[in-house]
Formats: sequence, C-alpha cells, structure tokens
Amino acid sequence: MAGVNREADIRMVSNARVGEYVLIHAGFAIEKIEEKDAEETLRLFREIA
Amino acid sequence: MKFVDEFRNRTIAQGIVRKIKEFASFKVNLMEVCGTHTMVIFKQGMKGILPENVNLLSGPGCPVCVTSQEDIDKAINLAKDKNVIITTFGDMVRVPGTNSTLEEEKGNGADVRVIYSPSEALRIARQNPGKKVILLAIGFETTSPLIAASLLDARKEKIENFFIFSTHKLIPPAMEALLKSKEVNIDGFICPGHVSVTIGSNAYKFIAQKYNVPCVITGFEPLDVLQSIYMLLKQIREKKAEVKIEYFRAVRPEGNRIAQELISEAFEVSDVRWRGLGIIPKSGLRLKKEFSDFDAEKVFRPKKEKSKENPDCACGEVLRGVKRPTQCKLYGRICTPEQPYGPCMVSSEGTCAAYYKYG
Repeated sequence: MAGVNREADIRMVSNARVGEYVLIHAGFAIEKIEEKDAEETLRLFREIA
Repeated sequence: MKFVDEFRNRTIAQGIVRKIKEFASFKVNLMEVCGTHTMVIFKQGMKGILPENVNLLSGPGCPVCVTSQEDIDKAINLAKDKNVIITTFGDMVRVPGTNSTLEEEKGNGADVRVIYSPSEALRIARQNPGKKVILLAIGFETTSPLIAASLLDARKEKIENFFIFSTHKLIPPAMEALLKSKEVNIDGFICPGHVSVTIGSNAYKFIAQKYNVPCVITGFEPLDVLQSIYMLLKQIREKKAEVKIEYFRAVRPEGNRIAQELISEAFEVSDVRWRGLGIIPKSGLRLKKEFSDFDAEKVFRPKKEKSKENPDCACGEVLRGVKRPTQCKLYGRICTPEQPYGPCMVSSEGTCAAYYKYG
C-alpha cells in the first residue's frame, strides 16, 4: 500500500495475481482493480474536460 | 503517485465543472448516499465550485450514524459484562447512547478495543480463550462479507468465544424508503462505490426503473465525483433514468459474487430500525439460525432499556437530507467533534463532522 507492505485476506478476489492492483477494505481485498479501466476512466475525464 | 494524482488534476476538474455549469440550466437535488463521498465533497470544497443549481444532499450512508439508539445502548450494555471484550471499528466508541458511551464504559473498566479488520477480533478471541469476544458488526454491504468471512473462519476453527452483534444494513432499501417518503425531492443518486463493489450496479436497477431516478456509481477521488455529477445531469437533461458506473475500475454490473455468497451463507435479511428513518422492511442482516451460538443478541440477551435520542439532535433529519447540520440547534455551539451529542458529529463520515471540519 503506497510502498508499505500490509497483509490482506484475498478470498474474495480469487482471480487476482501477483503484481495486480486490488481494492482493500478493513484488511480484505474486496475487488481487483484493472489498470486498463483506470486508464480508461482518466481518458473519459479528459474527453469531457 | 500513480493513479492518485491523475484523479485529482486541477485543470481537468475545472474542465468538468465548466461542462456541469453548461448543463445545469435547471435546479437539481443530487444525493450522495455514502458518507465517504460526503467527506470528499467537503474536503475538496466542491460546493463552492459547483453552480447554485446543483444542490448536493448527504444521505444515510454513514454506518455509525444510522445505527439506532437501541442498538447503541445494547452495545454499551454488552460492554458492562466483565467477561466480555468488545471489539469495534473506531467511531462507535464515542457515540452517545442514552446514558453512556463505550468510551465511558472503558473508563469504568470495560474492555473495549478498536480494531481495523474483523480478522483482528478473531485473533483477540484466539489469544483470550478465557474471555468472550464480541464484534460489533456495523456497516453496509462492503463490511458484511468480511464479518461473514470471519464468522465462517471461527466456525471452522471451532472458536467458541467469538460472537457477533449484527446491526448490518442494506443500502438500496434505504434509498427506496427516502424516495417513498417524498420528504425530499431527489433527482439523482450518487451511489456508493464500495457498497456497489459487492452488490453491483444491477442492485439499483429497480430504483431507476420504478422511481425514474438516475443512479451513477461513483469512485472516491475528486474527479470521480465531478464526472458523476456530470453524468447525472446528462441523464436528467435527456430525461433518462439508468444506472451507470463511473467507478468501473472496481465495480461490475453483477458485483462480487464471492462476497455475495459470503453474506448469504452467514446472514438473512430482516426488518431493522435506522436512526432517522425508522424501521425499513428487509433492510437489515441478522445471523442465520445455524449461527445462533455466535449471535451475541441471542447468547447475551443485552438488556433493552428505554432508549432515548437527544430531542434537540437533528441527526435523523440530517440523514434524510431534510435538514442541514447548520439548522440544528446544537450544531457548532454545543455539539462539536470534541463533545459530540449525536453520531453525525462523531463519525469521520458524518455529515455534521464534515460541515464542522470543512464547511
């Protein structure tokens, strides 16, 4: 997490692999975050602005 | 930092606000359901940069705030048992019950511990076999799967001194209750991001279809919120009412199936009381019968007292979007984050706390 190592329970993101982003809530990874979706979100911001 | 700074870019924010201004030729009330969105909106001073026509209302999405006074009192009574260790998320300890707070009980010798994750509560139970460890399970669909996971772990490991006091609540029924009451006019919902990670966008479809109110599931960075406001205005202008996902980097239409299965393994839907909203049918989660041995409500039968909210506290009206904190008699003079009278001022996600800190 921002360069800090923290343990998280990953039972809810069975498809996450090492090196990928996950969303953490109260010590649990609750969803995988797709890098390409984050990029796409930024692209949509720029498109509107 | 990657994927942080880009979501807070000032120039792009100004661009989206320009677009919002172009679209806001009529008055709209948009409700941000989630307390974390309330904090983002206030912290970034968004109310100051948005056009007057866009009125943002804070909704009932702060877990501590919507917990009923009865449940707060029960939690406080559970803490009085000398054999009990209460484990809870931070904000709960300072919420005033009818006669006391968990913090006060701690001062009187109760063992109340603040945890970050439900798995810590389970660890405390393992380390203290002679004590009964009760986890105060508050929160919405983001938190209930984690509580369920810890409960299933406890059963698997045959941990017999771990108990759950569930006051879990569901967000979509509360949104429906607000629309049904017609007390405030809501033209669009800024839907919670992390609740939606679990339940998915499909869970809001009935709101859009039945009540003709557009919904946009929103991330927690400043640009996410602005983009969602724009997306809502666009729908309202085009007279559409659909559920859109702005936060698609984390939210899927079907939600997180594993999380949903965890919830349904441990919990069943029940009618529960919300602060400010009364009893909403099918809006709560109680432990299933097969987990009765873990159910603090059944095992400890916490004393019911005549629970009373402070009559001058407007937290209930604030949660319904009917009153602004500044319209409360107590706000700012008597009720402050240092000396809170109601949960909306206690919680870091509470609307009154947001107003006080950034308003």
